[in-house]
Amino acid sequence: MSSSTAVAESPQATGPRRETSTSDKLIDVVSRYGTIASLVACVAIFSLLKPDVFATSQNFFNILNQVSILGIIALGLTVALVQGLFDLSLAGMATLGGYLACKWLAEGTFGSPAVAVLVVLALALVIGAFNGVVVAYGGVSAFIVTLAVGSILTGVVLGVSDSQTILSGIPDGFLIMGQGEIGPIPMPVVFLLIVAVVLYVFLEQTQLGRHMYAIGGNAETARLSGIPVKRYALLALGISAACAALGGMIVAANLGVGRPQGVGDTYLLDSFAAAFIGASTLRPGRFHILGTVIGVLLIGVINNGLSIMGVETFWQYAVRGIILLLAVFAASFLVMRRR
Amino acid sequence: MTTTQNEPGRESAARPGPLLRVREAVKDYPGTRALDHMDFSLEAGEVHALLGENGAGKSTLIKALAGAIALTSGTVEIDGSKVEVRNPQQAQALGISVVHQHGNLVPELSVTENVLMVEGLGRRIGVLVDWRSAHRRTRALLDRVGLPDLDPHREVSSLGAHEQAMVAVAKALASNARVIILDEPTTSLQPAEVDTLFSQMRRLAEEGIGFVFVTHRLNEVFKVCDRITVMRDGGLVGTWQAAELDHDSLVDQLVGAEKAIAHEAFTATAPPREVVLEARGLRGDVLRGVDLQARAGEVVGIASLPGEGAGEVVESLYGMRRVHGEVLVEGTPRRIRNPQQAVAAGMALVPRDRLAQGLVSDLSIRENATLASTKSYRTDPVLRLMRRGRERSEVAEVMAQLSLKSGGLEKEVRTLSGGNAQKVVIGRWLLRRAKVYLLDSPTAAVDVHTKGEIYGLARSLADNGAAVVFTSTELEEFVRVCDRVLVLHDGAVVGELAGDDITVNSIMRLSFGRKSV
Repeated sequence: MSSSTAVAESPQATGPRRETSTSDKLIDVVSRYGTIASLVACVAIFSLLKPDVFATSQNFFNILNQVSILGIIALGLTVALVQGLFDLSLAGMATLGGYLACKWLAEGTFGSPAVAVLVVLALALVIGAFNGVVVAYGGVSAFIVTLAVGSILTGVVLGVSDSQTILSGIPDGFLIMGQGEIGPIPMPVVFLLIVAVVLYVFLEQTQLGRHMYAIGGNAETARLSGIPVKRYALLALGISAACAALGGMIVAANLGVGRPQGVGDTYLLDSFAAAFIGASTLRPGRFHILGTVIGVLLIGVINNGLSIMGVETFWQYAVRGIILLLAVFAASFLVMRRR
Repeated sequence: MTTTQNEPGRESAARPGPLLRVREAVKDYPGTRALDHMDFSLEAGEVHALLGENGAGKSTLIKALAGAIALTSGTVEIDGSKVEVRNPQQAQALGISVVHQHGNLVPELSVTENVLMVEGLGRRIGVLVDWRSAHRRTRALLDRVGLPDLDPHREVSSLGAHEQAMVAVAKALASNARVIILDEPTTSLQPAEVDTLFSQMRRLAEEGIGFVFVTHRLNEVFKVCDRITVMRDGGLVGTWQAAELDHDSLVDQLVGAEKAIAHEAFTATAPPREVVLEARGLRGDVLRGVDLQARAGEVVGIASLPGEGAGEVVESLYGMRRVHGEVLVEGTPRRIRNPQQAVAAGMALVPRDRLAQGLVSDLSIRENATLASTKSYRTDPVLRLMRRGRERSEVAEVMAQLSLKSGGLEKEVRTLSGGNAQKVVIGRWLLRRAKVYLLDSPTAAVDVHTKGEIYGLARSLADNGAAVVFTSTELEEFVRVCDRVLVLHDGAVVGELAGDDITVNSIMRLSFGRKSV
């Protein structure tokens, strides 16, 4: 049987490649740059309609501030998605991170906010790595594992907190994370920039990032090339969890309260939307940091612009959904054409 | 149907033609002709062997008869009248049924559910399944295939290989099949089970069923078949009564006159040097104590029928398969339990399935080429930044050496043709400075010209001091490329050929278990 398949496949493998026609090239350009073009178009439209409110430097930082937490979480998720791993535990992780940091600081478990933040990040890495262990060594899909772990985390925070929000005793040193500024730049934006640069270098310029793309592209080839494939799931989900926890802590610092529920849930679907919009741009079919940044900005600009225009919330949801559909459709169209 | 019993191969006067006849069948795929004016006929009540090497066109013919593919031209007749077999449903309606190597059974379902899958389970009151009559009908069918005691409630996955094969036949009978095509049904059977299968086939043949029997095991052909048809290059070589041929003359018909092959072109010109790879007593679920040595400068072939050891030796040496035994690389014992350890030991695999196992098609040529040697391009063990400049220049150098044709090293590897893609895989191991190359059917799905190039590459790898282990599904390749060939049969080495003794005939004879060459 195998022989005849080989006969049937060989023409495809060895035959002359199809010439790319003009229409193919057009589709290629639209797919690659469509998302960026729509970002530019949105900015232009909102600027024209509300020049005095939308197109101001203050509103520019406002948008960045609004998307920074989403951005941090979505960038972490991007690392997991590069390896083809869905991380649904990031909602629970973000809530847990924000709450624990507040709790430990309010109760004086850790005197220094920096130490508390680092301990929470380390804990998140461990929980994410645990996700990875079950996925890689237990052979369970990441979708299910992280769904379950996310649910456990949500339960743990509710139990530990007795559903009580921490309102007082949080030191200013911690609140700076969410409320401070460096020059004109709000602290959350600073964190976003740091995470974006670090993860960009990590994925694009390091050996580990190279291996992650290889595993995401074809795990069997990566394994047969001598790459220890399994442990990379620990790393990818660990990074995703740490970014979620960081995002959760910045939310807590921004609001000045440690909420035991509902913190991360807001960001779960948007971070997936941003990462998938990102995977449709510049390098279609491939998750990458720059793409996710563009996706996050697109979501931020649309939400901000529509709010300024006074459009009702339900429209904002619908428009975001339509843009996600268009972006993903364009990308998959291009990928299908190539195959 | 019932008048022709016991007279296989002879037409009864009452019927207008044979049970099944294929005339002038042609099947074209873009760039290749898989069937070339093939003729074939099957009488009611006979067991007819359909033989040929891999790629001879057997599978294509079977697929056409099963309605899985449409013929480009040619006709199919049943009982002398022309019929259309456009899809599997039509094939079934015509009484043509194919039993595949691993059975077309759903392991999680019961025997009854499988046997009556096509015909359908009966209904009661319109919606409820009439299990009682379903089981009763299944029992009757199991009776006919010689399994009267099998409980039809049992899940198919709990059955032995032989029972599964017979259940698959019962499933064919359930749809009133008159032509049953058995595609390598004996691969997973024990010898005693094979005999049982054959006696049931003979009995059903006496009921008037025609069997087409596809196998690679020639001794089985003489045990059970009335007639033998041999295919080569998509066309008919000939059809004989089984009694007209013996084992050796059948092999001659299978491979054809041994073609004049440029033997010298790719085999060694210098004597082999030191031993690079040594394996002792490899033993696992297929292998039964295989010893192997490969020296620098030689290409060692490992040949066997599918599933009888050649591929398994390669997988074992590369840590993809659990085996006991010792592996030494350059005299040092190496523990190889996974590919990572194999790569660390200096092994290189050029896998059988290039797309699924050899390449990451979304990554660039450069990234694919350095996949096994990223460590040598990183700045330090902590930050692990990749030095792209050095990567680029070294990849460029190796790919020039391999005369890779591409639109640039940053292009995605998907843009390459089969042969060029294979060069990227080989280049990966040159960059890793591997010591042992395991080439597992490296010429699969590449064109004739590129095949020659790959043979040349295998030779130059050896000439440059590596040990090369080579397998192939095309026996001619062993003749062209290998300096020495180990032939395995049923998981054990049954012979070693060297130099001019390496011929398609000698390899085939040994791999069928014939000690004498």
